[in-house]
Amino acid sequence: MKKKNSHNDLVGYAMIAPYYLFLFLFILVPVGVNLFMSFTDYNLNTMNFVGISNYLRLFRDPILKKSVVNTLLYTVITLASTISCGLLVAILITQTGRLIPVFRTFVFLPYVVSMASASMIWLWIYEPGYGLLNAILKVFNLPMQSWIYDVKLALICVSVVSFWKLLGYNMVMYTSGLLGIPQHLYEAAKIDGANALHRFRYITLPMLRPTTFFLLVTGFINNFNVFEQVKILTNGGPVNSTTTVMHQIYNRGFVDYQFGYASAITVLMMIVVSIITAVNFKFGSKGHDLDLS
Amino acid sequence: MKKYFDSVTRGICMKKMITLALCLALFSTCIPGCGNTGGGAGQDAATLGTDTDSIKTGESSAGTVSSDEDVTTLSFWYINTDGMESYMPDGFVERFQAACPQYKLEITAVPGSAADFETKFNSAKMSSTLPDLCYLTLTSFASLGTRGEFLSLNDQVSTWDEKEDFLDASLDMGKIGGEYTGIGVAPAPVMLAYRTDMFEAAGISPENPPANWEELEECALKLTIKDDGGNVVQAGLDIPSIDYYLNVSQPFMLMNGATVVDEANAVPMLDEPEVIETLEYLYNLYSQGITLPHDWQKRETIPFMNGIGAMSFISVDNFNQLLVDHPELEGKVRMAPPVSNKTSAAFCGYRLLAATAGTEQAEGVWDLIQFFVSSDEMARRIDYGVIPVRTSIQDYYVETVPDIGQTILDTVAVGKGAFVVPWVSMLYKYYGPAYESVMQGMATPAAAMAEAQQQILAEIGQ
Repeated sequence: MKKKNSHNDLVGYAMIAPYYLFLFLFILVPVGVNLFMSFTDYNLNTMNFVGISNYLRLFRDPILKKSVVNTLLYTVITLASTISCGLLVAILITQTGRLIPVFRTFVFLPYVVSMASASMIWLWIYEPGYGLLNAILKVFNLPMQSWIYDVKLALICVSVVSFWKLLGYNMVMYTSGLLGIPQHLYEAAKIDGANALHRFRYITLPMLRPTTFFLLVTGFINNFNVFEQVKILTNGGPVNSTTTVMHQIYNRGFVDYQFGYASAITVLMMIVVSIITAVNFKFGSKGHDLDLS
Repeated sequence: MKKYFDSVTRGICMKKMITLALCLALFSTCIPGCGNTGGGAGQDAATLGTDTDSIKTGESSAGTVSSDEDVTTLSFWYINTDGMESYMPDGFVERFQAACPQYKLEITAVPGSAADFETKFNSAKMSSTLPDLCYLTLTSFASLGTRGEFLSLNDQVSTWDEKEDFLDASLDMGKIGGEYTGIGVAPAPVMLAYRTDMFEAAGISPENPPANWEELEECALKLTIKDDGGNVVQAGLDIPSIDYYLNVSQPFMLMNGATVVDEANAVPMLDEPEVIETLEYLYNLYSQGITLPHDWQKRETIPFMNGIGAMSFISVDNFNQLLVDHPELEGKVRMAPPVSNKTSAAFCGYRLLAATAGTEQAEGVWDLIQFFVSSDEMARRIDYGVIPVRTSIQDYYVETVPDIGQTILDTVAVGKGAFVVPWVSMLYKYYGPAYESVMQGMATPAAAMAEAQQQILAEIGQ
């Protein structure tokens, strides 16, 4: 028996080896190299050890601070809107109706479009001179806006693009969660006199907690990595009002050739995302383990 | 019983063999990813310019240099934009190889934008697949050249007998640290373009475009049209909300006698009074609502290019492209002579030839450069609208482009492009937001420029 298990183990390791080799070479090694570079002043030509000066610089960099604030704001706006509206839309489409499948398709369609393409489309929509949004405002005799050229509106405009793209994905996840809620819970609640709001608050929301937790964790990680729409729509402007941490990493590394400092920012981001993920796991994964049998 | 055990043993062996084969198949999928793909300059040559002719390359592996007994391969990166100054006449490779049979030329079309070009250049550097010669923008040349990426051509240019035929600016533009490092071969000026039909509608004579700041402001106010809601429907003069590379603000500053960047000493001078006065002038125009917000780097956002602007500082490329996209504007758009305030000035980008520092074919590269900038080759490019840098063939250019040829040459003569300093990316990084904060009304020009100046000095360690 021991010999047979050993043989099976070897086969198993051989099967998973390619993936772990890939993980090691393309994930773990770059992380290690990045960590090493964060203690240097590498600029593609020279590399000198500079100790923790890159990390000390993180706290003195006003643009990085602005980017962290922007990233947090963007994350809060995008997550809050996509999760709440995703749930609302999911509840709506679980109703019966002939057009529901069509509606579901159209809501999900933006998710399959590449973010770069979507950003180009929204660049036209937001165009102050001839864009779609201002054309609509003009029809209703409302004042035209500068949208992505307005420092007060630019971040919201970027968030809207993300909301438009991610809503469908959240809708699908919540739909799956809603379909998994046993109907007899609602029936029992109705018999007990619970109205729609009570049923939503005491049955739907708690039962969707695992789904919400998943969307929060993945949403935080994805939103902290926001880059494409920022680069294409606004390039971080106007006046750095839309620059994000990832955008700063790109600029510092590939525009300013300060790879050491860019690596330090990456390490900082990794720590922040890890902390947020850990907090989410600690407080968000406490589900109500109901025995529904 | 024996037969039974034999069949079980054969089954187990078969199972092991299948397992082993599957494992080998899985591992074999990793091997191609570890292989050396060879070369790195990547793309095959593509169609350039507005003509549909394509460029024939030698072999398919661009970006590597090799030599056999008689023929040396030269690799040449050529930026591929849709501008006429990036046009490569048909048959260039054949003509060069006929003139210099000891060489075989491989051309690769590469991205034209500074950011994309530098990304590709850096990738090639890290994979040791840089070309011998690059044809690139002044912005990229300044950024890469000040990092020592290009070979000094000082010995060759200093003793070059054809040097006197070149515009001083085209050679001076390519100096780094006082040494000739690049050769400017195609100017890309930014000029004041205007709509004659809109001028006439506003009661302004199209024969007298604005020549100074006062006239510019006067015309801009007359040409601006707003609807009942106060929204601008026709911009009088395009003043960008975002001017990251100083394409519009730099010429205005130079017109006002500003230095902006002391290239000789490599120090910024953003807080000099002339720069502040310039931004006050531009903000005064912007705040009077004579423009629509746009990013100058994105051609599709410029109001003039969309038919809703009366005047705009655009490149000759954009001007030509406007006529291609809107042939109905033929005869209704013109380019004005350089505007002046304290002096005449204009933004004039350049395309330069520069040899990479690691090239092993310095002699061959110099032969290629001389061929590229020869009178014959330059004359061929004139036929497609490329502005010459040789004074001996400028008359031919004016004959070929009679309407605006001389105006363009006058602009090139007073034009200045990107500043060639090691920290030029810092200039854009801090000037851009400072300019935007002025246009948004968030800061005064003096405060914004003072802050930008301090930030640049802090970053460059001064």
